[in-house]
Amino acid sequence: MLNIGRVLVIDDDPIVLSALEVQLSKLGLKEITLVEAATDALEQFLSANSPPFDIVICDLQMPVMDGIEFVRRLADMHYPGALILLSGENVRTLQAASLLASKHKLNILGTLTKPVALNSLRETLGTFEREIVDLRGLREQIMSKEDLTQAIEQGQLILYYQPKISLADGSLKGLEAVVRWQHPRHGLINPDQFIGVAENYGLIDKLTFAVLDQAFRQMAQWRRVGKEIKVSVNVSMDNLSSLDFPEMVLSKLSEHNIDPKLLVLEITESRLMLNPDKVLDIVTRLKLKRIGLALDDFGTGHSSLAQLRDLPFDELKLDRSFVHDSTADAVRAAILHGSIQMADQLGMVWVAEGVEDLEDWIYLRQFDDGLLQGYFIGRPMRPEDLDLWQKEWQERYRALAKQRE
Amino acid sequence: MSEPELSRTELLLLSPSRTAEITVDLSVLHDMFGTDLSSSKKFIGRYLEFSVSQLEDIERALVNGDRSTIAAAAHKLKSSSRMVGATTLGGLFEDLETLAKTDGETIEPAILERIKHLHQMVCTELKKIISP
Repeated sequence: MLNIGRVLVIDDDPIVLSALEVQLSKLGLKEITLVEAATDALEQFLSANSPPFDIVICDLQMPVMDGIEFVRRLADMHYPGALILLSGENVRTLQAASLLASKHKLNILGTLTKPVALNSLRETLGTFEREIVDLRGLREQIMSKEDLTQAIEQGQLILYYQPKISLADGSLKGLEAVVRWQHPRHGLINPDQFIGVAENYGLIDKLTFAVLDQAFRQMAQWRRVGKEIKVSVNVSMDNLSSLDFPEMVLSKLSEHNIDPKLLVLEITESRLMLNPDKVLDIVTRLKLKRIGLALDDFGTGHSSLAQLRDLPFDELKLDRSFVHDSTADAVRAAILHGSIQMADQLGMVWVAEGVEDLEDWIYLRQFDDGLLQGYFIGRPMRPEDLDLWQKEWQERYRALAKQRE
Repeated sequence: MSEPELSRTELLLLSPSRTAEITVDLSVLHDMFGTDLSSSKKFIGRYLEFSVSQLEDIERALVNGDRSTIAAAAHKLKSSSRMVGATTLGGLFEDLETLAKTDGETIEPAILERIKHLHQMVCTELKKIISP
C-alpha cells in the first residue's frame, strides 16, 4: 500500500474519473477528490490556506481550461506537491507537456496514457516522496547565502560517489563525486536544491573548491591502500569565468599529490556561456594539463553540438532522459544510437547515465564499448561502502553475463 | 460477498466469438483492474449507463445541428470506450469528434448509425461479463 495523502484527479470524462477512483482505492489511497473541470480544481486551490493536495493527476485535453493552462496556474501558485499528467493523446505530446511542467519547476512524478494500467499507476505513484514536497517548500526559507557559506565553511557538504563501469567487462572505470548538504535541521539535501543558490550568490567557486579538496583527500586515501581511482567532479559554467581556474585546480591536485589524469571535470552548461572565448581558453589549458573533460547531460539545456564542436572533451555523458526506458521509446532510442555513434566517430568515451533497471541494461548491451552509470549498477555511496559494492557488483555482473550466454 | 478472481485467460474465455474479441479487448480491463472482477463489473456498469445517455445527447444534437455538443460527447466517449476495451468504437468516436470540430464537414446520419450499431455490439459483450 502506498503512503500518500490527498489526491486530486481532474478529467472532463466522468468514466475516466470513475476508473481512476477505483484504481487509486485499490492502491490504498483514501482521500481522493474528483473534479471534471480544471477551473473547479483551481477554485479549491485558491480557497485553501495551504496546498490542499499532495498529488494532482491532470488530464491534458479538457474544454474551457486545458491541462497545460492548469499546469501554468499551478506553477504561478508555487504548488509544492507532485503532479502526474494524463492523456489519451500520443506519448510525444505527453512528454512535451511533462517537459513544460518541469520547466515551470513543478515536481512532475510522471505521465500516464489512457487507458491507465494499474501497474503504471502504481509505479508512478511509487516515486512519490513526501520529503521532496517538503523540501521544495522549505527551499526558499533555508537556502540563504549565509546558510550556504556556513555549510561550505563548516564542512556540511559531503561527497557521495557513484560508480561508472565498463560495458565490455563490468570493471570499475571511475566514480562521479556527487555533493550533498548534510543540513543540521533538514537532513540530507540534494545538489539541485542548492547549486543554483551558489551560482546566484557567487559562491560557486568556493563550493567547487571545497568539493575538489574533499575529493582529492579521498583519492589520496585510496592511493594509500593501493587504489588508483579516476574521479569526476561537476563544475559549473560559472567556474569557467576565471582565467586562473586551471592553475587553481592544478595547485589543489599538487597539494594532495594527485595525478591530474585521475581527475575528470564534468561540465554542464546549465547557464548560457557568456564569454565563449574565455571558456575555450580555460578548457584548452585544463586539457593541456592532462585533466579529463566530460560534457555532462548531453542533449539537454545548453549542452549542445556547438560545445562538442569547439571544446576538447574526452567524455560524452548521455543524459538519463535519453537512456532510461529507451527500449520502450523509439525517439529516445534514435537519439541514443545517434549520440553513441557520434561519440565513437569523434573518438570520445561515451557514458550512459540513468541506467536504472534490467531493461536498460539489456538494451545497452547491444553496444560494444562505453561506460554505464545509474541506480541499476550502483547508487551514489559513501566511500566506506565502495568495497562492499564492488564485491556485490562483481557477483551480479557475473550472473548477468551468464544470463546472456 | 466478494467476486471470485479470474485469470486473464479465464476472462478471455468469457468472450464467446471472434467477433466479440474484436469488439471488446478484455485485456484492457485486466490491465486496469487486475484480476478483480468486481471492479471491472462496476466500471462496465457505469460505462453502459454513461455511454447510452451520451449517445442520446449526440442524436439530439445532430437533429439540432449542435456541433459543439456532438464534439464534447464524442470526446468523452472516445476515452471511455477505449477504457472498456472497445478500441474500434473509440476510434469511431474520435473520427466523429474531429468531424464535429471541422467547420464545413457534414455529419452524415449514416455515421451515427454505424456507431450505434457497434456500440450495441459492445454493450452486448459487456453485459455478458456482468451477467455471464
